[in-house]
Amino acid sequence: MTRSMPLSLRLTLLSSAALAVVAAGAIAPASAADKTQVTLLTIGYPDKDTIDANTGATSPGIDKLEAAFEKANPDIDLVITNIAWGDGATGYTPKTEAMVQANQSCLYEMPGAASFAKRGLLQNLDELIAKDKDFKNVWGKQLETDKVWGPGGQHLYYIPDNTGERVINWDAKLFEDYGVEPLSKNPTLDEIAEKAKKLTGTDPKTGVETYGYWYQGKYTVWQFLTIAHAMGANWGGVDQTGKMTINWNTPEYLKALNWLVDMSKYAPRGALASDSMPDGFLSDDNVVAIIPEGEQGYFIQPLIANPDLQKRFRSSFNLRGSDGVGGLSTITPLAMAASCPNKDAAWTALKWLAGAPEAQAYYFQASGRLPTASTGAEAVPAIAKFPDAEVVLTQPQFAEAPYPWAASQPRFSLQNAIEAAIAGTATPADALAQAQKETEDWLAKQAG
Amino acid sequence: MTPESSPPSRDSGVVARLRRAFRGALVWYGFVLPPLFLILVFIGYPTAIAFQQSMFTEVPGGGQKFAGTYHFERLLGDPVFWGALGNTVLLGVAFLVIIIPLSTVLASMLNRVRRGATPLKVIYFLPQLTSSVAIAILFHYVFQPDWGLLNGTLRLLGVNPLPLWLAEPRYTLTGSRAAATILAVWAGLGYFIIVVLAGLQSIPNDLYDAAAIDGASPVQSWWYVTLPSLRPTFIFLIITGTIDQLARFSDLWTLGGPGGSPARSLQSIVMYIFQQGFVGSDFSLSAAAAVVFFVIVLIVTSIAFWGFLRREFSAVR
Repeated sequence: MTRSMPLSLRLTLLSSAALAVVAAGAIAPASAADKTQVTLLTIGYPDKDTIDANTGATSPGIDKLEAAFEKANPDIDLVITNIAWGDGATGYTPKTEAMVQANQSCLYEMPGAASFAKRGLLQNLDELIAKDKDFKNVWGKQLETDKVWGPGGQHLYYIPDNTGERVINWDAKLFEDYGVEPLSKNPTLDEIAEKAKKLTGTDPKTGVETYGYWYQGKYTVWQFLTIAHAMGANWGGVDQTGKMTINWNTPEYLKALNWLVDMSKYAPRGALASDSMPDGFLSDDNVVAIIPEGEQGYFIQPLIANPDLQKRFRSSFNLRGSDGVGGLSTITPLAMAASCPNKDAAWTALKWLAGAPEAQAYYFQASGRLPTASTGAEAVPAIAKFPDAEVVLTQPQFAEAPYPWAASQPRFSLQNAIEAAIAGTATPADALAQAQKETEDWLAKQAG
Repeated sequence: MTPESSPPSRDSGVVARLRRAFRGALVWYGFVLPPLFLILVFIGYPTAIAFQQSMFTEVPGGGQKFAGTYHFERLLGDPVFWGALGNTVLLGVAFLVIIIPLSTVLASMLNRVRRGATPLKVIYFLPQLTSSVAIAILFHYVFQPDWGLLNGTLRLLGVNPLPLWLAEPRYTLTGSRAAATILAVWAGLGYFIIVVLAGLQSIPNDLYDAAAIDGASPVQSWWYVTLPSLRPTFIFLIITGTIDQLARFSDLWTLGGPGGSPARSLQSIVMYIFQQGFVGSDFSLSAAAAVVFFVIVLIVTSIAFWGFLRREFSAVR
């Protein structure tokens, strides 16, 4: 049996409830209004926490980045749109273009940011840095190498928020077996050549045939460009009008190609057919002593999982040119749209997303990407325990500026030239001349 | 006489007959039209666009301008194009020269097997059902010069120096082209065997009986009866095999990457078309190469039809 509530009491309760709703409504917008909204486009992170079916490792969802940011910046409401890399018409490129055109976001993870900068769609960050009295450069030389052409000249239009890297891996056990001094932290071309020659032959302790040097067959172009840069070569550039010049057929590149062809004698005979690290890498069966182009994905997680390997498989900095940089850049640029309505808050967010240890830790946990900032050791303590932690964590700060043609015809023409020279089907000079001709055809087409 | 009962005129009789005929065939047109529509949309239209694109050049900022034969002239002067065309022809010829005799011999032996023929046919045919990309990944390991399966076996047999396979771009019997040919033969052998087997089983026994009465040995029967009777089968296999080989792409791409490594030795004409278009963004040159490829396939098919198939069709009629 139920008893009905008196009408007066019901009216009183209803009135109270309505007042409470109105009051809450009045309070909530006031709280949100205190926060400045900053919108961010990210690419390729998990939307929610995911568990790897093979390893059982958890990759944190993008909401974890948002939560960490808002905890550190309570005055800013970060709204993240996370898209997949995708492919072709459904890839990130047309989606980014659509969002930029529609002013849908303030901050963008933006591969290909240089072309957006050239079109005047990005904020010149040099202006924001000049106004920011508290600005601290935790990205090193990257703030110089990442400058690209925009409407007002060559400026900083993005800061890398995470990166891949290319270090020189080397097998300490093989060095010890042969009684060769370990590879130095900043090896030179001469040191590599000299030690590679000594390390090629029959291992005096195990009797196994070993090799001093390695090159990644189908991807040797990146190694070659690093070697050439260390020898003083310069691929060219892009001028203010967007016109690109590329010069492969120079004495420096020829010298570099001759050097690489010579070094290929100290690598396994079939290296030209490879597309990654040598068989046995990171195991007791490894037979290659110096392994350039050590990409983060090949060695970092296995070394974390098996700390014993850290003593044997070591890392040195990649080769550098006279400008102090060297090695392929595989950064993820973080840029601000010129149309962003609240640039102060967006600048605060950009600095945090590209430099804060919490953000850097998130990128590593979610996708294995490395820190770009000097706060990296704090961000990924597992790497900080490596004997070569400094090398692994700071190499990205010394990478060359991104190559604007990295996914275009000049790369494939040069790669073919290198393969032909190593295989002996063309002389290094002829191979570079052919690459130059193909590249010039491509450049002519770009110019219309 | 009421209008309803008047006899139909001659014209209306024809119309009625046509209408009846059409009504009877309507259902068949209904079946034919959807695939025809799909062919026009997904093959006819892109083909027409490729022809149009090959004679125009994109203008920066949008739009196109007429270029006439300019892109074809560029193509003729491009050694990379000729290299890709040469690779395609060489790989295709090597494939057919090996696979047709091999499949004929194996099918003839299989035709004599009384027990276990079906499992053998299934085993031979299995690679045909496997993705060409998966097969290429597998063969990439098989032909890896330093730690691949094949060289590992040769090392155990004391072979020295070991072949370089996928690291050797020269024209040798143990180079990258040879490896790609072995892969293609392995993958296609089952299909060729099944087709030849069907051809063998369609040969009337009377011919063999007559040969036996004439005192022919088994080898003579095979040479003088079996092989000539397989002529239509060989023609069919040569034509379809040639067109398949001209259009080869996915396995070579998997073995050699976008540039047909090493040193473009595995770059086929379709890979060239793809690379010019989607890597070099030179869609006009890519379209011109596609048009040349279309013409080559058309010529091969026409020669096959006028030279061989027409005679076979006439014989059937």
